[in-house]
Amino acid sequence: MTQDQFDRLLAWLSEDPEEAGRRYEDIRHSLIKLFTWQGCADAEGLADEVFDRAAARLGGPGWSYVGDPAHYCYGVAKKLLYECRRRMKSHAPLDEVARLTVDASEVTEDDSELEHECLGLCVGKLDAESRELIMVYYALEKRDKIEARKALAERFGISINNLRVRLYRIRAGLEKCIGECTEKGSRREMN
Amino acid sequence: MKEANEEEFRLRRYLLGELGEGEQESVEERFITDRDFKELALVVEDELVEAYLSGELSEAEEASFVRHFLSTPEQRRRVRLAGKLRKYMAAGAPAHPTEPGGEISTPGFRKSEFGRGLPWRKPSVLVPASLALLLAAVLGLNWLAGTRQRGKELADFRREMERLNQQPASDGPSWVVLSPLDMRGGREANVLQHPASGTVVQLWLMLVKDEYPSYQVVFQKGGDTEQLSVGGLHAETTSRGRAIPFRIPAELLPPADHILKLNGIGEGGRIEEVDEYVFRVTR
Repeated sequence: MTQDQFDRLLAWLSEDPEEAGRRYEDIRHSLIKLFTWQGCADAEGLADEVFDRAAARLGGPGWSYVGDPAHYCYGVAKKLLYECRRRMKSHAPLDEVARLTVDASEVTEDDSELEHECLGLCVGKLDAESRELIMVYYALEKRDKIEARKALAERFGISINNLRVRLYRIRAGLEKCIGECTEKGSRREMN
Repeated sequence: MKEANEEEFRLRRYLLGELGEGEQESVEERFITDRDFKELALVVEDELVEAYLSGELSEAEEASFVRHFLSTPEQRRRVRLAGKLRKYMAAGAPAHPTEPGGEISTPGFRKSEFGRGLPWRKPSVLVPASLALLLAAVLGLNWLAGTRQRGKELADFRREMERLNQQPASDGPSWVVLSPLDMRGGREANVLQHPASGTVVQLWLMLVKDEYPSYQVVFQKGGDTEQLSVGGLHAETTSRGRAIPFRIPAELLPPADHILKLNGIGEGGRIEEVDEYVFRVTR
């Protein structure tokens, strides 16, 4: 995608540059999730491919689309998703044990050590309330998940649905923090 | 309410790869265009991962999860991390994590007290500024290296304690019984002989009353300010009454007075102090 095409893409997403940036990130994140969920290799690359294709057609000859850009992007992604699903179905079913066993090359002992350290760092970065919430949730959840949720929701004065969203956001935040931390750690070790 | 449950059920089936083509596309289109639906889908995904890790999925669901959800390295990494987080939380996060400002809070130390009562003296010899800076840099680096080494040691000990205390307890003569401060009254402190290196000390922390579904033990090694905590512990019945089984590696018990603080995790989610166990390790 050229700079010109990228600028046109952002302007298409929104007239306000900040809002356009936010929408771009949001749609990109959604595409990555969809490609990942459908077992596509290189989900990020495919998400960028969607934007490349959309940007190439945008305002070109025959362009007549009027509507939500996210909906258009999904239309482009659908073809790629279809390819992924077709490829998944055509693979011979893997041995269950092989599936359950993580490829040794995916995890090394160093990765595990680094991940553990980053886990501690990232949990330490949580605000006190979030840390308490998630610690207590895991402590109570072993006994009875439903009761744990009720007790926590009452303790923090929020609805159960809000609690679920909060727990998801805390875990997602931790995942992002650990990812960034391990990347920094790996780069430091390589240097 | 029923509609919300049906939506979640559909999302769950989508994530497990159990929807037909048409329904898949309907979920996907909504996911990318409807922000509230997207958040709901992400919550459902998060809970599905937790359900898998806690063994709550049915046999069929688990098979679908492994076959479909874990089909990419990224998803496998994600689930592995989620598993690590569960274990880490179950074992109890550090007792004194960093404050929001990034400072580590140390019990009994207040910033305002620093410098009070220390006589301010001018140096009798003026040290060149550049030399002073160099000295500070070297000392700072040494301190940093020492702190990082210490941090790593603590992390190793914490992991070891988590691992030891996940194993089931079985009473026997090798277990040492500790009474809480309240119960001891005028009697001498709990005393143990210095354990051999490489061994594990097995303790029963006797309870006056077993009131909590689970407990956390915070260990403070004699002479140290850092604390190591292990959570997710449960009381067991022994011949002497209800007690919490707790194991510590011998390396953490040099000759000194050590403290174990027992906290209960209440129904309301509150962490409440229960008791303290002081014991002396002799040579």
